[in-house]
Amino acid sequence: MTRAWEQIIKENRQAVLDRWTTSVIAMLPGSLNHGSLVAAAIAEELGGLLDAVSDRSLSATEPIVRITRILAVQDLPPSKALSILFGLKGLVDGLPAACGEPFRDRLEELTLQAFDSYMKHREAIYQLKVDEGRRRMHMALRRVEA
Amino acid sequence: MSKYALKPDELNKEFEQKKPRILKGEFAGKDWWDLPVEFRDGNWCFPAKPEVLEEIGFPNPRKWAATDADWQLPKDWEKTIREGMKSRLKRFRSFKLFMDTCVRCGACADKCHFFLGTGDPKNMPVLRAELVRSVYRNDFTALAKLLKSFSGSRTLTVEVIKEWHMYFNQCTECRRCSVFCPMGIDTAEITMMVRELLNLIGVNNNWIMAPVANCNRTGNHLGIEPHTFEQNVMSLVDDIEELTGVTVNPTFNRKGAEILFITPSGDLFGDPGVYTMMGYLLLFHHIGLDYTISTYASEGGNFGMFTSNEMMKKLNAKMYHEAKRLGVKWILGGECGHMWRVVHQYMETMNGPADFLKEPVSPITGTKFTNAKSTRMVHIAEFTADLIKHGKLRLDPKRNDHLRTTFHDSCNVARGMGMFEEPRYVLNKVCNVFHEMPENTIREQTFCCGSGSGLNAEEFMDIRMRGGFPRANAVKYVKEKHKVDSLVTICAIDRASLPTLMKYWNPGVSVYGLHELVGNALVMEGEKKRTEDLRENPMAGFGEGDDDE
Repeated sequence: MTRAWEQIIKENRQAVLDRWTTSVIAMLPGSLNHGSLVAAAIAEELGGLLDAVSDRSLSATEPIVRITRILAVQDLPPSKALSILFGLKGLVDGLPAACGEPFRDRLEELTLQAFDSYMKHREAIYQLKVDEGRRRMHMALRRVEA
Repeated sequence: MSKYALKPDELNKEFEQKKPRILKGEFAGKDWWDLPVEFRDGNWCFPAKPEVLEEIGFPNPRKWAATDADWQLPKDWEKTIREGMKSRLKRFRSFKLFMDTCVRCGACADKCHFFLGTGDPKNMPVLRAELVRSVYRNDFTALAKLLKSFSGSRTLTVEVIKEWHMYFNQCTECRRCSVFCPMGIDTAEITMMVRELLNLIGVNNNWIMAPVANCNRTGNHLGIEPHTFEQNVMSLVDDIEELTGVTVNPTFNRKGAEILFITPSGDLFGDPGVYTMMGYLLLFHHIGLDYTISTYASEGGNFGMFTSNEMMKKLNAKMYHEAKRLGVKWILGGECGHMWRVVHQYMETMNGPADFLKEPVSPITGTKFTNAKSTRMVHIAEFTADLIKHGKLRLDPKRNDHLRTTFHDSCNVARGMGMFEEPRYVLNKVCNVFHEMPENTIREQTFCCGSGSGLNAEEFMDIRMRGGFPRANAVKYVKEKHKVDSLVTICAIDRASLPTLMKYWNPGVSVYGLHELVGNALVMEGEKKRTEDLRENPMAGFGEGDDDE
């Protein structure tokens, strides 16, 4: 009987996580320094995300929000930043061919979720620029609005 | 020379074989100078507008962008840079010392917030300094010129200028690295020198140069004319009256006042700085201080510091000029960061001695501020701490019970003048909930907001968010551990930039000036029942139905 892909990931969690962390950090512009604070922060969240990949009862929202918040301001094109989940595909040893499709489906589902979150962060950056401009002109705007 | 000594080519070969490599991944095996410099949206600040440079007589005014292939440098730009460097090496002993003494131990490497936030090796202070040291070695030291690759020297090219512009604008002159340097190298001063050199050929940043031109013209970075300046303050006086029922009476350009008060212009114009200004006004009224505000020396900050020594000196001079014209005894300065580095470390030698002023003495407590004997200018946090220590303020810290605070040490006040305790003392007296961020992120090890030294430009937002990440990470720690929701600071740039940083990394954390919280807590004579803080937010337990006695 073919074991479920979720089970395989759970059984090999640490090995998969280590490989995944290394590959994600290598993708960052700061891959030149694996000990950077940003790399550490991403590594911290990948564990939670990996658990949510293999267990639908766990929420992926929080780790996705936190990771995409970091990725959205890195010197990376969005396509590369959002490829982190797809990167997991080749990292799980002993995954039977029959498991490929449901595993891919799960990664695609979470990638789309990450896309939404990434876009929210980019929108937030533009909104912050507007808000900062308004705060800087606070007294002038008060006069105009008075 | 000993026959056993290696010849230069042998030495070079051995060095190439044995030297440690810091670059990995796609750049493994390459040298740091092989890393490309690429300007993209979000990683460069708009250059100064030509009219801004013309107004202050700075060189090479033109329209250009960092993404242009041709930066339209002046014809003899190499000569200008070399002569500029030569002149500065002669005039500033620290620059020469900092070029010569680095042993590349790497103690500074992981101390820079830009390095921690970007992972870019050229943001390691040692390597950032190497960007200019490599040219220095090539042009100013004969031996290094001979042993070119061994010594890491290189020729000055347009690419080097682009690299300087990129990385010396990813240094906020915060000096955290200098705390850890065993040789005492102050990378901030290296950055100051390189920015001076870049300004000689018109490579600059509008977010710095426009305030400099404004300040040169009107006395403040925002370019506020005297009548608007006064109207803004009086508008805040109206707000205070509405909130507290108390009418405060600031005066402007009044000759014979005892004290001249100077604060950053952001406190009169920007949110949340204006609430800090309201706190000052309440405090001065509370103690009956004989003070005046100048509409000419209307800026505490000094963006000249990020431009050139000469411009810093010129913009600073108005403080003493105005103090002399008004005949005050001494100067009281508001909450600001780099203003205090200029005042504390440079003002007396640049524009002093201010022998027309008196050694500052608090008219309320009689305390002599002997630490300000040479500059004759006292920091507001010291002044207020002294008032509290002597029981001169009637405070109700419960009025800040709606805030759970932490304190961000502003780089220049902490590392530039060694002030750690006074703001904490005040904060602990005006509020009941205060938690420190982790030890390696506060006091002399404080992390920069990521936007200091004139890098608070909107177009630079991505880099600012990366550079501010270590500070945000420390705030996240106290937010999660102690439910902190208020980040208190004593710097105008922090008040402008940290709200943005917090909204991105730590939504739900607001930024306050220290004296805004003082203003909240002050129990004023003749006040009406206070239910709201200076931002018109409700105070906890002070609603209409609550008994606040």
